[in-house]
Amino acid sequence: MNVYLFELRRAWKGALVWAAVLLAFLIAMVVGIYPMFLDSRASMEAVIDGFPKEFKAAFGVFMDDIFSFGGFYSFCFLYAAVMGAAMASSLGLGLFSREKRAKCMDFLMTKPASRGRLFFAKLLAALTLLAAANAAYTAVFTAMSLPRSGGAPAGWAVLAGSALLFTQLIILAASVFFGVFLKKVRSVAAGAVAITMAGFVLTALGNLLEDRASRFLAVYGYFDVNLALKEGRFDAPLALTAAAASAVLLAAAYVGYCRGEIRSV
Amino acid sequence: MNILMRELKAGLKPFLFWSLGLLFFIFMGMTKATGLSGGGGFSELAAAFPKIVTAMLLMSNADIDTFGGFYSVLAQYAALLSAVYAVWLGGGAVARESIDKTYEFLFTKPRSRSGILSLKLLAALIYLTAYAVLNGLLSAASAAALRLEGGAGVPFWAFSASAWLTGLAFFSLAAFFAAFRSSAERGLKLANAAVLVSYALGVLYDMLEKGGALRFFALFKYFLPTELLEGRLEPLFAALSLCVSAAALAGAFLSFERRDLKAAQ
Amino acid sequence: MLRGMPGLKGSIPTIGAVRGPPFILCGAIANAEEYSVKTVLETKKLTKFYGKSRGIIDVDMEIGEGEIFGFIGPNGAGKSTTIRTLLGLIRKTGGEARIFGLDCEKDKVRILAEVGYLPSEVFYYEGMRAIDLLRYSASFYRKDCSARIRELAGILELDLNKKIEDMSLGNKKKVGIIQGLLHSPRLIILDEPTSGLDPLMQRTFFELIGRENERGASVLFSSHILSEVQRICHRVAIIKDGRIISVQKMAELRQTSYKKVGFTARKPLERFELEGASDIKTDGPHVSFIYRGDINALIARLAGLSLENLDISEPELEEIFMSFYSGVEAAQ
Repeated sequence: MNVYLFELRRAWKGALVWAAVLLAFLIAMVVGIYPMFLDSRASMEAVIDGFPKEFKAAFGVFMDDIFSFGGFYSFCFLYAAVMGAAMASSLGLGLFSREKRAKCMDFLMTKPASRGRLFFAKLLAALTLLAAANAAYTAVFTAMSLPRSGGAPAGWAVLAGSALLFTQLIILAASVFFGVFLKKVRSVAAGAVAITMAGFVLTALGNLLEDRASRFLAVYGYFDVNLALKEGRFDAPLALTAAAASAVLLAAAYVGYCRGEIRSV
Repeated sequence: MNILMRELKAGLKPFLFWSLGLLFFIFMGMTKATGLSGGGGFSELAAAFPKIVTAMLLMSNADIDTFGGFYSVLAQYAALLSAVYAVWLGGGAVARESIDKTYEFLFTKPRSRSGILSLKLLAALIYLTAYAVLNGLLSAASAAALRLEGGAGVPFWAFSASAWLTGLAFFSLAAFFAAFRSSAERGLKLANAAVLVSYALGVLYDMLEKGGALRFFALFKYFLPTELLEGRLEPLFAALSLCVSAAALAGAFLSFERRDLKAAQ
Repeated sequence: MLRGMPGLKGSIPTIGAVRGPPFILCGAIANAEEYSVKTVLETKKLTKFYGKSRGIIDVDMEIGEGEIFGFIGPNGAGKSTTIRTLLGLIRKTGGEARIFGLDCEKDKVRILAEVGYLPSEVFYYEGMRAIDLLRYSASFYRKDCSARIRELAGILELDLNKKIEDMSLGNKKKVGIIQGLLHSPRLIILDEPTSGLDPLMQRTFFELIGRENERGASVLFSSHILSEVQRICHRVAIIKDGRIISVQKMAELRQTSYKKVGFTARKPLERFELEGASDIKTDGPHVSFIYRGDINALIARLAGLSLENLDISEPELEEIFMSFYSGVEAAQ
């Protein structure tokens, strides 16, 4: 409990800033940009009118999808995911490299607490902060999407909102892994940006390549907001991959944390 | 000379790591370009797409039916990568000894502080330049290897030069922030935030029909893909980015000369 | 090894005669009287390799309840490796290590609850005041330590409201000392604890350790400075190249066997030889050496000389140590 509270106290400020940025982004997108987006439908339809007939039919469905709330927000989600990843990786890397950076591994590791307990206390602190931020984000998302997504059940909206949390969990697991196994963490900011960027590049690549297999590269696209709003589910293979990858990374980190040798500094 | 050699040696491994990422990104991206038909209404459709969406996907004004248009999208991601690497290089050069708590070793040697810093920054700059050169070479090589239509006509050098100039600006800003702030970690946070804010401003610039003066604040928009495709680096903005770099570097040296050296987190 | 412990009692008055803060020695004596043969710490053939490079080999040690046990050797001999293995920071390669009769790896948590550790280098979290760090440290133990923190801070004259990163090395060290003692541990492990403390503070520190010992705490005290080991330890283990080469009672080491002999003969001596004498220095008529052996043999040998002056005294531990080391090297 003491380690948990200690980590919470040291990390809540950064998490609060990111939560505020995420909420501001969400509200700006939905309140500020979404109406502009809807307005552009007319000009797009004008272009499509010039297309051959069979195209027009196909684009009709396409247009409805794009200009739905879910279609719109899936464009925005990439950015929400980048910010969420920055938050999650700062947390994971920050908490799990804290003693390494301060060169006080000896201090914590000679306390009468098993390393497993320390690991879970830190992990739980990170999860608590993510959960708190996401509770706010998902609540606002749900509240804003319900009147805009044409009668989708509230449960689906909540699921769509929680796409951010699930995405953050993958990044958290990866950053915990790096926090435990990197010999030296010079700067949490630099490390977090590197992890976030790696995710971004993979996602950009995955989206660019478009084929089924490369969708597994797109870390920030594992949880599709639009699909959740339309059908109340996530893509099962992708979601399972995310869960499995997170579990493997966390398990490896746990073992590494419990068995690692603490050399003198 | 010994300092330079040591810095170069220390930076080699991270450089290889970043290069590998770049290689992976460019090559994978380029393979996708083999499927371009060089026609069809896709770019017309993209043009009709809401500005906000194309801007967020970094596809504003890009004719992605052609190889040049496709490459210019890819190149913007590469520029983003090089900016993040540049922050790591510039900030790291200033802050490494403080973070490692080994500053007493280096800064008690019979060399002036500015002398040491300039060698450290020079070593980092060599890597930044090598990275830019590699960016151009890899692009040209993979275009040639994949026999991409229109590959020969794209001025890869202009793209990599623009990435270098943008990178240089962030490199210098990061050096300045790291020297100016007494806490290295906060300096690096600030530098990384600068990349994110510039990126966001760049997206905003693309979103607005007439970004106008916004371009001066969006470092990523100093060199627009449309200009680069014509093999042109806008002289005004090239000069401006060099000025930003020079000012930031001067500030870095001044702050570094004046500051108290101490172990910092 | 502890079977020899009762012998320590007999030699205690002689410890009392040597220099050092009298306060501590009183403490040490009080405890020595109460020695039970209970073992606090025990290692058997404890071995640690870092990959292929040597850490420690076959270390055998036993520390009795209430004992102050010195652990001495040059840099890189394996002192810290031994301590870190005992604390479960690194994993042993072989052998056995037990504290309070519990296995150092399996029962680590139960052991650590009653161990206080002061590392040689003190680094703590940034942005924390001393009191915050100490409270955090205290929160790991199931007792209220706040009074003890105040008390220790008073003794060490430490301002608890200052940020640790703004403190001098000595003050950081004090934070470390309080951190290691605040839960009144049964076993205190000190890894080269005095670096960074001024002589006055070192004295206070030794008094503090003495008081803890009086209370009943056992101490494992690693150092490469012999005089400080000499100051408070009951027994000392000498470690070199990862192996313990000798375990000696401090009293025996000093009193029973070693004499520092110096004399001036009336006529210059060409050479001087005597079985049991080591580190012999001859400078014209002046001769000095460290002697270990039958005192009568020494007297008999000296009686054969015509002397101008004779001085037989207690050697400094340093001097014994050097002769001891050179002896071991010669034997090898």
